[in-house]
Amino acid sequence: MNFWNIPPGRAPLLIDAASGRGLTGDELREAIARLADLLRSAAPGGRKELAFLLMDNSCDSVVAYLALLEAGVAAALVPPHGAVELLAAQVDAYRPEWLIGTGGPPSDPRLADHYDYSLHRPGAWIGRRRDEAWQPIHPRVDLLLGTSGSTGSPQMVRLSKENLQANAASIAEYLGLDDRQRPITSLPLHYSYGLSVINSHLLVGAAIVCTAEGLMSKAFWNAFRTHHCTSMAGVPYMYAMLRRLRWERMELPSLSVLTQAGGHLDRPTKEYVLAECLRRGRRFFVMYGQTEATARISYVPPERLPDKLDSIGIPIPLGEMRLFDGDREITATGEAGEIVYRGPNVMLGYAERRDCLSRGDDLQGVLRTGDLAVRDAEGYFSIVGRKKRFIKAFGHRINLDELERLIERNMPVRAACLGRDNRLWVGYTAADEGSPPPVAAEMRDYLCRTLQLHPEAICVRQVGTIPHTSSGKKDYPSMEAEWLPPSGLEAE
Amino acid sequence: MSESSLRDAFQTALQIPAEQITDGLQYNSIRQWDSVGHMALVAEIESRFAVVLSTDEILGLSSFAEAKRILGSHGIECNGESS
Repeated sequence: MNFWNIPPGRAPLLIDAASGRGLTGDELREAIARLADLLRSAAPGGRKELAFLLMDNSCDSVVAYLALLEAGVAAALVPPHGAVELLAAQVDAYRPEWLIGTGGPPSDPRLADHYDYSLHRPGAWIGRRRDEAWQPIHPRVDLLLGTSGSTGSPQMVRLSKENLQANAASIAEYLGLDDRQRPITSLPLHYSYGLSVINSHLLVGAAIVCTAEGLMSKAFWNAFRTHHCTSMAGVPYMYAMLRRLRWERMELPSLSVLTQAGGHLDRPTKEYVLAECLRRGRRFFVMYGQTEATARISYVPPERLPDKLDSIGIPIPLGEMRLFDGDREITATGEAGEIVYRGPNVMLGYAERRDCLSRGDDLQGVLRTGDLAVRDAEGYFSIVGRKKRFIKAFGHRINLDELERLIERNMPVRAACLGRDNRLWVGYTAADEGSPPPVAAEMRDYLCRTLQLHPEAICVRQVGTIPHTSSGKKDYPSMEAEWLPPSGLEAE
Repeated sequence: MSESSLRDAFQTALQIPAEQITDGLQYNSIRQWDSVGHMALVAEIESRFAVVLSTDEILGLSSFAEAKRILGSHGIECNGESS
């Protein structure tokens, strides 16, 4: 049974923390069916469409999410309270047929002018795009999640229902979930980790308490106690908050499980949470994952946490982790390599705009995570860093980030280095407007000399500007698209 | 201890201009005073006034006026405008 197929029942499955009202299995089924019918009936010829769901932590948003899965409409979950110009830019890039949210429909003309709005539930609106600009969507593209949070990058991860279901099943298995669990939505639901809590608990028929409140509000803890919540998910800063709140003094008798992901939790806080969990007989799961793997990749079984404090644990059920240095697999313990994850939860690929949605499974279940790790004798992994950008050119291993710094120290330029097919690509521009940059031949000579490389391995190019992302980082993907020949073609 | 010292604590922790800090300033009413800002604020108040706030006080510190009241209950009066 897939988690979005809600079984009939009279027990509440979604509980609104503020009002205390719940949606039973029967009510949830009906609400999903009604919205799914509306979505289906509007799509000419049963074509696959796209919806942007401004996903807050309300029961209505969960209903909309499940209805989109049920109806086979691809759903992009976007932050509900983000800057309107970022949302407008994303809507422009993806041209969703539907815009869905709660509260009032957007009034900004960049969004209001393109959609006709109506209410599908009290307080929950749906907008239908006015112009006809439909473009095909691959049958397996069911969910889009952002990777960067607030930077407004249009890049999203393409996931299938199979990805979602497989990861939910793996998580339910290693957490040992059953229908007596009752999590609270402590994380945003448009975030892969927050969403994974919903998926894995619906799968086992557990009720979920929906709140928009954060850990620093009284209402959150009142809801937690009133509804006898059993578990909570948190990213590192939230555990720092618990500590600040003197969590050890709070009486939370129903709490039995804590999970942590979303980055490295510092050692003192981890030890604090662990000690508290041991004292109170709670289970504490330290986990690792990426949105590119739907959410979860590995976990530390709680009974092993005391002696695996620096570890991200072992692969989730159905998953496999291996370490690679380039093409060479690392099997020795203690030697660092990139984590390459294989499993049914690996995304289909990325998307940056609407026409990317016609693509199918680019990754074929294999994800190069970009994270460097070591493995111990018991098969537990520990992260040692992010993979450096490097190329190997004629046996030389070149760290591209270091090379950029080196060039900028020694030449009057701003430089960006890329690598492909064992060849180094350097784009550069004058460091200051006043002095002309060296000509390409001079740059190339300098690089050959410095790197002891054959000119064949080096392509240089003087550029107008070096592109940056909105967060101020060098935008390598756009440089690759602009400066490098399409993959597979020989360079000039 | 004066109100301006508490005002300073808000200004430092939340990185907001002094004129924004009024009795009516409430938790989650501005972007800077979200849960992360709240942690910084609690840390700043605890160190500046040498107090240890209870869980209920941390969760109840929901406005500038409420902060004054909580400090008052620790024997720290914040009514004067002197600096």
